[in-house]
Parts: sequence; C-alpha cells; structure tokens
Amino acid sequence: MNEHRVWPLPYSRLPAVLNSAALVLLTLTVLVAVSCAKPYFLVFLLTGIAMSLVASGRRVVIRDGCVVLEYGFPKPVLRYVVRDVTEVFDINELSRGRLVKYFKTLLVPFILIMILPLVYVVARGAYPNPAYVPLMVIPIIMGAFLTIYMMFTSPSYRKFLRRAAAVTATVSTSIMAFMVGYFYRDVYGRSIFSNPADAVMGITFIVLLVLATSLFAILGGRNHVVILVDAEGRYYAVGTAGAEAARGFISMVLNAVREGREGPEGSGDA
Amino acid sequence: MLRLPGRMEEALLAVYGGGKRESEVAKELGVSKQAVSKFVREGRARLTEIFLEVAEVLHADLVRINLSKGCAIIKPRQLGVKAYVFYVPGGGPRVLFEGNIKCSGDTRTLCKEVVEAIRAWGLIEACSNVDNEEGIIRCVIKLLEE
Repeated sequence: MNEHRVWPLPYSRLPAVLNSAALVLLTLTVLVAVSCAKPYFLVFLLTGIAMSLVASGRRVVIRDGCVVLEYGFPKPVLRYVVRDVTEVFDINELSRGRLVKYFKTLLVPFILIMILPLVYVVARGAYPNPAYVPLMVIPIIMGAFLTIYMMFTSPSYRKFLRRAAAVTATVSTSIMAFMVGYFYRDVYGRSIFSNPADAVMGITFIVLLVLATSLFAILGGRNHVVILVDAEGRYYAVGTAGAEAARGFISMVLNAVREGREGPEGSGDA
Repeated sequence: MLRLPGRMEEALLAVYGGGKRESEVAKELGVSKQAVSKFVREGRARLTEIFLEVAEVLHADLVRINLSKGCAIIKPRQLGVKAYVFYVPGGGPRVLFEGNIKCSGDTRTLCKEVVEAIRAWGLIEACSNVDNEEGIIRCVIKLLEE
C-alpha cells in the first residue's frame, strides 16, 4: 500500500488522547511564553511536540486478514491491529456523514483554539481596555457555538469542513486583528491606524491568515476519511489522498475480511 | 447463489441482529461456542463476498458496508445515484435505488422483504415510531447516510 496515499488518523484511543493533550500543552506553551514563566516554556513545548509526534499517523498495513495502524514519527511507537472489521465506510461520500458522531474528542481542540485568548487574559491577569473586551469575547463565543452546532447539524462532512473553515477563519481573524491592535498599542502607546504603513502591514497579515485557512480547507477537503469499525464497536479513522485512494483502501479492507475467515479472533493492540 | 448457508445466517442474525452472546447462540443452535464463532467469522466473509458481487454486477463502488447490520451503500458508476443493498434472510440481497423508493404496485413485495431484513438485523429500533414500510425504509436509509 502506498504510505503517502493512506495514513492512520489520531481520532480514537490513545493517539486521540495524545493529540488533544499535545494541543493543550502547546496552548500552555504560548501562555507560558507570554506570561514570562520561562522555565516551563521548554518543558511544555518539547512534551507537546513529542506527544504530537507519537500520535501522528505513520502507515497502514493490511496483512493476515487484519488492518494494522501504526502511529509515531520517526519510529513507530503505537500499533493497533484491527481484526474482525464489521463496518467500513468513506464518510466523505455519505450525504449526512458527521465525523463528530464517531469521534467526540475532536471537539476538544476546536474549543481550545476558540478559548485560547480568554485563557491568556485570565492567566496573565492583565485585562485589556474594556472597550476591546466585547470585540474579543463575542467572536470567541460565536465561533465556539457555531462550530459545535455545525459539527452536529452539517448535512455532510464535506460541507462541515467548508463551514468550519469559514467560521475558524472569521474567528481567528477577529482575534488576531484584536491582538495585533492590542499589542501595537501596548508597545508603541498609540493606535496602529495612526501610522498608515503599519496599518497596511497589519491588514496584509490578516489577509494572508485568511488565505492560509482557506487553502487548508480546500486541501483538507480533497482528502477522504475512511472509518473502520471492529466487532467490539471500536472506531478507527484512516485518511486517504482523494476518492480513488479511499475506494482502493476500502476494497483492500474488504478483501482482507474475505480472506480473514480462517483468521484469529478478537481485536486489540499488538 | 447469493445467499448465506442456513446455520451461518442463523448465527450471524442471532449475534448481530439479536445482540446475543455467542455462548447463548451455541445453546440455542445446539453447537459449540467455537462453532458459532466460526459461523460468525465465515458469515462476515461470505456476506462481504455477496455485497462485492452485487457491486460488481451493478458496476458500482462500495461506499459503506455494514456486516453487523446486513446492509451496504453502493454507488453505480453510470447511474449517478446511490443504491442501498439489504441482505434479506433466506432471500439474499435486495437493492433499492436512491430517489426511487416507493412502496406501491410492483415494488410492494420488495419493500416488505427489505423491512423484514431491517427487523431481522435489528435496524428497526431507531425507526420504531414509523409505521409504514416506505417510512421505515427512508428512516433507515437516513441513518445509514450519517
């Protein structure tokens, strides 16, 4: 199997926990960095990166009627052997497919990204000008609610990706615009709009951020997510580079199920 | 023949459709637990073959296959609509095409068989508030598309 076209996703079991924990730690790293608690900065940063690397999908192997998912970079650290596959589907092809129905932990990083600026303000204990507070709080709350709402109500995974990217881009842009303005005033003691050149630079930065988010959504939307369910009802996600790769992978899994009639029983870790 | 052997079908329906333990099924069928495990494992493989054969006949790609609920979603390459395959116990696979689900006239028997399969595989619980056959089928298809 082409490793570059099919890879395990950290949406379930230990990789999901590690992935979420890594995000929390990297969030803390940012907070620690701006709160001047330098000794912990490196610890949080390195632990977060290490957890993220352990949870990153490495390769998918199909052998002896089983699907083997390997996680970890540069060396495989976690390995799950999925035996007795009872269900397999390409969630991108379902007209009402919702990833969050199968992987609730995906909500955690979304919520964390939204509340990061609030956590920063609370952790630092330095409150911004009251005039800016609604500007910061309203997009965060709206973004969090909209994203969660869409996770449960979007008619399909593809539509959810598009809408979530739009909301995330809007919220991130609002927050970043606020932070740029806030820090500029903090450092130079005047509004960013008092200097047209700085204002243009700030706006360019925000536009580039929106473009990057849009690009991410477009590229992410091309990949397909295939979900495997074993006899115990455990879910596993596999990313594929496009619809054709997804079809090829499903076909290989079904051939493995067909061949696995004389295979061992049970499902678990190797 | 696109059908499961009798004992294999009974074991598969009891374990997945009825939610029974393999040991209970073994007692009911009067065989060992190992025999039931083998029936279930081979039943899954045979059911996969059946769905693959249906997909091949219709020149379709498999979008979803659920061996514990005896159904699959396929996408015929030339038609541009999805098709839903239900394994009817004792009868084999039955296919319904998206946008053409009507339970009247000639399709009445087909609907009855599909609803029978939905009941046998334990899919009816989520749609227990619907009383007509067409409604039940539409409700189950909606669930399969989630």
